[in-house]
Amino acid sequence: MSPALLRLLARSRSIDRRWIALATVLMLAAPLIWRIPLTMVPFPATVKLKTTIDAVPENKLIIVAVDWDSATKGECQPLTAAVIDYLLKNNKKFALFGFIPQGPELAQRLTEELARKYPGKTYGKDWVNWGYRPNVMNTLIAMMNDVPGTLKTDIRKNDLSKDPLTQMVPNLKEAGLLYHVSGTALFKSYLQFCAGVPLANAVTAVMGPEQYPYLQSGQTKGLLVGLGGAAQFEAVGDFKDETGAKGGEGYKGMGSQSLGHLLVMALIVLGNLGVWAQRRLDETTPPPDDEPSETPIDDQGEAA
Amino acid sequence: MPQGASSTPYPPGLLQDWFATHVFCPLHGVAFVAAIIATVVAFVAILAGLQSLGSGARRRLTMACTFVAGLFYLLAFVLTPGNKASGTAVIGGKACAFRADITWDTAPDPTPQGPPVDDKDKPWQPPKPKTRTLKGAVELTPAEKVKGEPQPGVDILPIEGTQNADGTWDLKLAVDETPVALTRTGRSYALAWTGGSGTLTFRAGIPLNRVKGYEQPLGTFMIIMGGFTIFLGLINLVMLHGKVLLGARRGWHNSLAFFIGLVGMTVFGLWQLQLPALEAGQPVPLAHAGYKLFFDGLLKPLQSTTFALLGFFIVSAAYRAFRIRSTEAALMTIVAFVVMLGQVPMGQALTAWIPADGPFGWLRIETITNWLLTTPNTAATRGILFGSVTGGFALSLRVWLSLERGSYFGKEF
Repeated sequence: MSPALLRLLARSRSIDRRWIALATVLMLAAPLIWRIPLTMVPFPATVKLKTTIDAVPENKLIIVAVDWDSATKGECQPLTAAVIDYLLKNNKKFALFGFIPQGPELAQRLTEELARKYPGKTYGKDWVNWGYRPNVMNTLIAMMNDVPGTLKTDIRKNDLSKDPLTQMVPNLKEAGLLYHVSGTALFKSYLQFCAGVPLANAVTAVMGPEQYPYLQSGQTKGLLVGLGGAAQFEAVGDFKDETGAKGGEGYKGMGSQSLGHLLVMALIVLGNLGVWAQRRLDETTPPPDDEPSETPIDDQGEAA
Repeated sequence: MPQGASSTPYPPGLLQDWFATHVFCPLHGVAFVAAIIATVVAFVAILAGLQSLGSGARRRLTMACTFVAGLFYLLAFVLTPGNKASGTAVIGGKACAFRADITWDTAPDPTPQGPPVDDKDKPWQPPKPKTRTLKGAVELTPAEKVKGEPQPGVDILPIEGTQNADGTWDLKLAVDETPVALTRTGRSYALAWTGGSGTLTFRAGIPLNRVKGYEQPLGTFMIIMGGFTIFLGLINLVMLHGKVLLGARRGWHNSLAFFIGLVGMTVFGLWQLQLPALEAGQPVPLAHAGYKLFFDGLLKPLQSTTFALLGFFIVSAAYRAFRIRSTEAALMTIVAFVVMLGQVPMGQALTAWIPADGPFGWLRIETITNWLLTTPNTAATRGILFGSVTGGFALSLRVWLSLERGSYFGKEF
């Protein structure tokens, strides 16, 4: 390889971070403006979640535990929206609940927005929001015995012992499914204290690999990972957006995510090529005899 | 389960019913004020006592409290609740097995007479003691092996019962909806009904776990203690930022932002909680507007922005730090690229031309990704989990037995 090309490649290992940030912004923003038609293939874990939800009988309540906040909204909101939309579409009753203060509030707004797509879906009849509760361990232990007695009221201060939806689940073991969405390790608390409750979960992409042992052991009945998980669920659930195009919130982000992954891969390759080229240059070009080769020289011509 | 009833496999804690009736009951008027004053005095006295202790004595006290707390959770985990009953029965000359689950139940409230009364207007009633209840069945024939799933009422005799104060059981069972007469002799029951007879002998588990019942009240206590620690942290922050702000030191504007956030969130947060829920079209009161500004307008976007910065760091770090210097690193890079491509539609499109159901379907990138995640990744993650849990267990033992060195356990004893 010619020294000129090697030098060019060697320079590619020190691209200014501002160019990298600009490239990231462009690669992530462009597909949000110009939508790319894409097809998502669902993983078996996603199909399993849909099958599990479909198998929940009508007289059973599904609990959607929303342990996320604005920090992880980018991934957790589509993961929550995909399942809630599917529950509303298939007339499944559900309760929202969370151990992170913002979670139930954000999920309530999301549900109200999604419910507008399905005429007749109302709060109290189709879903209930139990709100935020502190102290994971004790609350879960108490809920295993008595849900309305532990939680007392919903977010609108209605008595849960008289709420028809909450009466469907006198204790957690009576729940049809508990679907947990989070960017935290809270799912482990559910695994620990909710023995006998059918569980499924969704996590941010960075936490995905940790969850697979629970999927294999059957402790989680279905798993969605990151924005891609939401898109996969939208694919398997045959979602359509307001324009009639395939998918929903997860699908919309897939163009950006695809280009983002490609950018990261390209940069890794480029960085390594640069290192390789520099090494070749160092090997082929002998150091000058009159000065030490490794000592950096500063702008004033003095050795640092 | 009937409304208002609660059921648990664990017996009530030792003296828990007595505490609930005699100590932790609502107080009113003078008694209420006196109780608050006594609590504050006791709290101050305990704090003063702790302050007067030397560091060695304080450390020993910490060690003792840690040991007792750990022992409590160990006993709550280890001691059996005695929630199973098992025995044998002879029905029509055939030997049968009897198995039952035992729970502790509170009887539901009787149907209220007259119009329903709001809970806050009801006079306080001490909690009702729980009754030990048994639910199980005698399987008449080994039906499962002979003809599949046994049929209740035909092949299975359901048995229910409650335990009396003297330890004996009142049992109820029926054959073909005909009540069975029971005659008890010690632990055995003679059964007699029209067209048949038999005997039943069983042993109920001993409810040894008399500490589990305290787990929930102690959890509430821990929430309150946690509240105090937040309060201590708050005092610390106020002192720190107060000094910076009053001294107009470098970065004083950050301290000002802290005080605005703290006061604004606290005032509007508590204020809006006191107001009824907003109806659609209703003018928004100041409390809700202020809360919305702080919570929706500041906290949420700031949180999202901070987390979004992570994306730029990940891209930059991948470019600068991901160096392929060995075979293992090369293998990891290839696997990472496959997994990254397999998770996104553009990557999946690369092998979409391979028929998924064909003999080479396994070469599709999403199939390889799924295999990588569910097989080698699962094995590795499980190994890491075993290691970290074992380490956690060892660390817990060291803390429990005060063998750990650190702020609370300065040296070994």
